[in-house]
Amino acid sequence: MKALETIETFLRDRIGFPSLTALSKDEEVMKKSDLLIRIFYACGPFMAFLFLIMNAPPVPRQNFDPLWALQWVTIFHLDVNTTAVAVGVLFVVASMLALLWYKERSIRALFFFAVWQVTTYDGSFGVSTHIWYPWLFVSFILIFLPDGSRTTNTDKARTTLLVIWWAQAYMMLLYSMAGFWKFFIGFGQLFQGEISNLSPYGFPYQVAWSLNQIQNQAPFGPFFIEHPYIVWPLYIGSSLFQFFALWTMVRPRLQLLWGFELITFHTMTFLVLGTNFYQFIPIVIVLFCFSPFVPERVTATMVLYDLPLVGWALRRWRPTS
Amino acid sequence: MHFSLDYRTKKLAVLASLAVYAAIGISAHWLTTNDELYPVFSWNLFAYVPNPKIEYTIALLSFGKTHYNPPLQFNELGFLFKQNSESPIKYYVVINRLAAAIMQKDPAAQETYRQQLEAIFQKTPAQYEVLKVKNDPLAFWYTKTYVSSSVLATFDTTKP
Repeated sequence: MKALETIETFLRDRIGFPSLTALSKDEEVMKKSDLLIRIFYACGPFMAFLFLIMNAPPVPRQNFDPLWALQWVTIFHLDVNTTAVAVGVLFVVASMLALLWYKERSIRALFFFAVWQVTTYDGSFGVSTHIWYPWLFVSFILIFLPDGSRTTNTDKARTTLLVIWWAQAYMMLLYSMAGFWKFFIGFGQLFQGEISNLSPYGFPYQVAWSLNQIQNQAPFGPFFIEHPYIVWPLYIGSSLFQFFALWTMVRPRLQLLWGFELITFHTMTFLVLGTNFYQFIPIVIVLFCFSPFVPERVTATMVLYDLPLVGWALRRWRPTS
Repeated sequence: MHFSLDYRTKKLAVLASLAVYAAIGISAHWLTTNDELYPVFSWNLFAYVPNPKIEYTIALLSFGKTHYNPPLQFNELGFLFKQNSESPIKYYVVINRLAAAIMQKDPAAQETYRQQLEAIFQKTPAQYEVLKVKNDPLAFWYTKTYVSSSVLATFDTTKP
């Protein structure tokens, strides 16, 4: 417990981590928390319907080889078409139940189970896919929300906020890890004398490879290949946004800005590389555009001072905020 | 289900779970070939820039009754992937494994990866070459040709 105290002291005094206990006494914050949870489960039936559309029989994907979490398919001798329908219907039913009774932990666990089956089905064609992972982990984390009314009991209220913070931090951790690799591998290739993603031609090489080899259709791809010096700062900026994503968990005034940037990032990834990670967008919207941790009043100055790098420089230069 | 953990322990558990996730995810990059210790992924995506290097690919000589001269290159096979709603990246991985099996003269592995690859033809007879190429992605974008290319093997889906 001494280690926890040290971490708590460091986060509170040095980093400025928001006190969830104090926030849990704010009725508006708790209303926003309930809204966030309700919207998350309201997105469920829509995502389930999209899954059904995209996996409607006859399933054209080849080499169906169920992973271990989908072994019941082998036991019941189900083919890929029946499996797609079974998993899709499970997702629809679980998400409809969660839409109505998301306050019940057993229903939230059922929703997680359905998402787990969807994730496993999607990865059962010979190559692992990661597009459903945010839904998998966030639905898992939300199982730990307290049951029943959350606003009347202090412990339940702050546990609610802690679970939401956990779900947000998980999502931002993914982006920070993605950003970490961009710089780690970027510097590695740079020191080996290769074209790296830190050089102006790095991203055009990636886009060219993707459009050639992966054969994606990407309307902005050719522009990005042919204008490296316009694209370079955008790419480096986007990588920095990813790398510092986790920082917004201790500077929640930045969450809305990061939410918009991440939605833009996924949209541009589709338009430039043809890579579709649409499952991420509703989660980013729900968690960061409806975040209970973003204060009512946020000014541009506050955001500037909270930014990593820029904010740190500003605080040294003009330590007012 | 009732959790009796006190609030501070819950906080510690949350922070620990994030730290463990990050540690497993980053370790997966060195411990596995696909950056994943299921269900934890490293999130290493589009970080490595594909420099000019040796790659393996295929070129289609015939599909059904249509013969292609010059052969259709991998980047022209979009119609096959579309009809299967599949990403070519999956087959890019399979092609690399098939090429390795050819070079290692491993007939069992060749058979396995041929089956996986040839599923894309959906039982339509096809002939194709497995190629070893030096690919400069940016040069290929402009010229649609590889820096150099050699045939490793030619296969007919109707023949073993």
